[in-house]
Amino acid sequence: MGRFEGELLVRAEKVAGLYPDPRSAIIPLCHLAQEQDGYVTEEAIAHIAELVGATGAEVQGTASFYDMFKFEPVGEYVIGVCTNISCMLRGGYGLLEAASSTLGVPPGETTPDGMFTLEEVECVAHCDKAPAVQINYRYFGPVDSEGFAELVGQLRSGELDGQIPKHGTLGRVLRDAPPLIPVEEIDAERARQDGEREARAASREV
Amino acid sequence: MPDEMVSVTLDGQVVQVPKGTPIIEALDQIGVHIPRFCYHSRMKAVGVCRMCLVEVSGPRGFSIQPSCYLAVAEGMEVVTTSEKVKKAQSGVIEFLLANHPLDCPVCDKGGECPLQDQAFAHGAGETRYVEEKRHYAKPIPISRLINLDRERCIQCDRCTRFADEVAGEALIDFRGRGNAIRISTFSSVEFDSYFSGNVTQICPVGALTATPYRFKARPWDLTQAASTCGWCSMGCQVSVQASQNELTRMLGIDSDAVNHSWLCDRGRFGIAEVNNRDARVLVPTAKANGIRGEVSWASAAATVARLVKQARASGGNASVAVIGSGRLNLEDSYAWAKLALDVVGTPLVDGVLGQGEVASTWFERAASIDQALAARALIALNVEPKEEVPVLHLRLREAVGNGLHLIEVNSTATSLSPMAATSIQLSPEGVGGLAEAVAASLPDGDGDVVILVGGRNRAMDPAITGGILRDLVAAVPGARILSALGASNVHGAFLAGLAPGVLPGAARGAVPSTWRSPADSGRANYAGILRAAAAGEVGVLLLLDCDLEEVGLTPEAIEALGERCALVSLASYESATTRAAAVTLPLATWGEARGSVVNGEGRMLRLGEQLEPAGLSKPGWVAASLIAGDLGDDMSILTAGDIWAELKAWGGAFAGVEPSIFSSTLDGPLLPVARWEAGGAPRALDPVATPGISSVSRQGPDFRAGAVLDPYAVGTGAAPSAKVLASGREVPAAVASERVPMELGVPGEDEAWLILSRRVYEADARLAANPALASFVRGDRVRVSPARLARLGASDGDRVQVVGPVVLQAVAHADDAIPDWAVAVEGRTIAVTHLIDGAGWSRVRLERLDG
Repeated sequence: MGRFEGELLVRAEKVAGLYPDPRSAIIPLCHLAQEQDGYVTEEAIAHIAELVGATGAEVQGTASFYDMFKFEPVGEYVIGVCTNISCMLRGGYGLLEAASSTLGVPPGETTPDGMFTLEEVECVAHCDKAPAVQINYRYFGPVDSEGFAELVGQLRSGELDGQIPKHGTLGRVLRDAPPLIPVEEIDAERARQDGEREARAASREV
Repeated sequence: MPDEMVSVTLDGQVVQVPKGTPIIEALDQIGVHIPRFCYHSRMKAVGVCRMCLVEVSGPRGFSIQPSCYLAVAEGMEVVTTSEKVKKAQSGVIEFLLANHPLDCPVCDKGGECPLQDQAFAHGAGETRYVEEKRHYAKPIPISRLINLDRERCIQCDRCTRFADEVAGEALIDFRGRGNAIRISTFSSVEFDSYFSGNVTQICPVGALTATPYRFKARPWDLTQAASTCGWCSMGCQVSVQASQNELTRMLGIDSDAVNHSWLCDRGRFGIAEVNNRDARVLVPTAKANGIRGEVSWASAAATVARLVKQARASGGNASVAVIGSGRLNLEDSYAWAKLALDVVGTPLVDGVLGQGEVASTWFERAASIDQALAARALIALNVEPKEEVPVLHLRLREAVGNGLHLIEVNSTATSLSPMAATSIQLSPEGVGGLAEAVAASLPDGDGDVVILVGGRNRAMDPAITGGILRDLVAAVPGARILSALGASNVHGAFLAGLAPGVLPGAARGAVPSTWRSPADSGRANYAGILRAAAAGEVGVLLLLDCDLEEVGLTPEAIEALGERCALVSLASYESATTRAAAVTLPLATWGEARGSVVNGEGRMLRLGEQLEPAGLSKPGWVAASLIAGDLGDDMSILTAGDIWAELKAWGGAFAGVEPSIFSSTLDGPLLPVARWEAGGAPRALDPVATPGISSVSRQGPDFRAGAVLDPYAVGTGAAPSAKVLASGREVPAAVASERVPMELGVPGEDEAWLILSRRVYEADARLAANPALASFVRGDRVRVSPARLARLGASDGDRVQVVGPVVLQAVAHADDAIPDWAVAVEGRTIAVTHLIDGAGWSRVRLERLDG
């Protein structure tokens, strides 16, 4: 818990080494911390600060800008119910209430078993399937009260494990080397275009 | 970068301003003050508060733009008075006030608050909001000195920018986003910075307040005086503010030449010790039969005179000796120099704690701080600015960021190391050949080389630093010197003649008629004096604001010294020395007496007075004059003005110095006055940059704070044309050079060379007297190389003892940065062997403690 350990430490060090200025790695490292612990712990922030040569206050300042970084323990599944206009018109508030009673916690809280955190969210860009629900940032919709209860049941039973990873898990593609930027090619192409442009300008003047 | 000028139209006026100037500064220059919160001329513009909106012409007509964030461009038109601008500014004020509490009557900033003032000037007067304001827990102590009130914060980014950009310690930062954005430390990590007080000074609202000043005073009740911080030799320009005969706070003045408005916390909160009467020496005392009792000044002075006469009768003039710490101001130093050298006639005068040799090389080549920071290369020799002259560390950081080439010469890594282009180790073997190595590492190019010299390693005789300095000056022709010697007025003591081998003004001409025939103090050295005193060869030892514990004696040793000779202590604070002294004379301390000091660049700076001296304290020159009177020679010093007249008569460094020199200026002159170049145009005061100063000045006469006027430019008289140091009596080139052991011996098998450095907060009598800062004292820290620790059979974290003349027990830390030949101790000065055996560099043994 907290500081990066084992394989995650190896990955963290790799990530920090990917950037010309290690401070650029703050956000990827916060994701990594969240993958490890489900949220960004204070120990992780302190460790990230060490890895990138910043202070804890700076890492915390950067990370706290983003809603998707959590700084307190959250459930394995973070469920967001949208109540923005489209979803509201299609019964978003009703769904939120139903979700709240299904899970037994008000929005913003986590079930005592640590399985679910319920959030009221603003538009998640799933308006065509309103009212929309996000579970660990995977979309579901339209969802009604029964559908929601069913989803929760499936999550509890593990039916959706393949589809929805635990909160904090990063995308499946992990980079461990910086993408090759064909700088020479780009420079050559730029020079060629500049040349063409100059030639055109010269021909116009003539 | 030569200034390319562009032509802009500001409110209808066509003016030429340097390219790249922010519009807000161009407007300041023509006297148009744009309201602002986030903009601060000493930090990068961020354009976050939006208060400075003006109309600026662009390709698509006029638009509203933040004037701090946009630079002038050729042909640009700026309008600041239109309805559109007024509406924009008023709108910003309304937004800022939406969540700002209306607690001005109990807020420390009330009365000097830029938000209050600018809301009056640009706000609507009445609010349209009926909603509940945002609430936070408050106040939050973000350090032991700073309180944060988040409700008052307007998120201007000044404090966080200061911490990151200026101090380089980003321990506070924004947290959250949007309406929930707030200043925050991380977790339980305190905002523990030597420079934390500056954020309270630049906060444009009452969000950051200093604990010692909280609820102490209202700004309109304060009186203020311009002064110079008395903690180190940087000479930071300050406004010292007082109420009811108590110092309430100190604010940095934006002096272009010195401190750019910044202060360190040791200086800023140093006023708490002045106020602490319990720790002060309030009345003269004398010992009778070993019991210390209060006496009158007349009786105390008579006792000192009697002791001096007795000593001279039995052992000649040289049985009276004087040691000073370099903290007495210039006037006091001069009077005591005259008393010691001329009236008593003793050659044993060291008012600079052995730094005489460094000082003697320094003055003729003194570089100003600005010159040092603009040099082709700066060589930092045995110096740790962050711990010794903290504000210079801030100036250095800025200069290195602007491309200064820094070469560090220290025994261990310091806060300079990350900034240095080259680091060269100062080791006992390499002392002789060091200068060549340093000279070889200089970058090519034109321009001055400046040597920044300090006294970091206190276990190394200052004479070694002086020797290296001399070698360096020989190896780098034309090199100039910026001194960072510790105490506030070491340089003034040197120029006042209270240092070995110099006479007042460092003058070489004839002795003026006000003196008879001063003794030659060329051989004096405080370590030698202490050895002689311990051997019973000194009858009276006069200690000028000098606690012997600070130079490495234990209280027991001081007690024993008091048995061997009569100690006379002129002191402001009680210490082991005052308790052991036969006579103690209460000295008016900082803020209690006018005067002047000379900083490390040789700049003469004023000391302001805000308090009646505590108890029966008197300025040091008065004490000297009283004693002289009892010795049958009143020295003709009846007022401080007499001292100035005598200094002028001595000439040398003081040629052309008139008392009026401070009256029309804030920055003092560089000595000698001929060195002093005319500065640029005076900068307009920005009342929002340091709100406290401008606000208090509104209550009284023009204080000129922030408006850094060059006194020469405003005409306080012609600078003397004579090359003041070029003629006359020669100062010996090296004051004690044959004594300098540049070849050091070989340490024994179990011995190591000691690297002893002090930190800003070190347990001395003055810091112990300071209720605001006493809690910052850290324990002693002992660091050694892992190999040495392993040879000892100990490991990291084991307790060890460092055995020198006294034994220091502490936890040992293994540190790769420490060379194998050394034991590095950060902490209070422990008795160092070079004081006792004169070996030049102290050696110690390291022993493991069991259990």
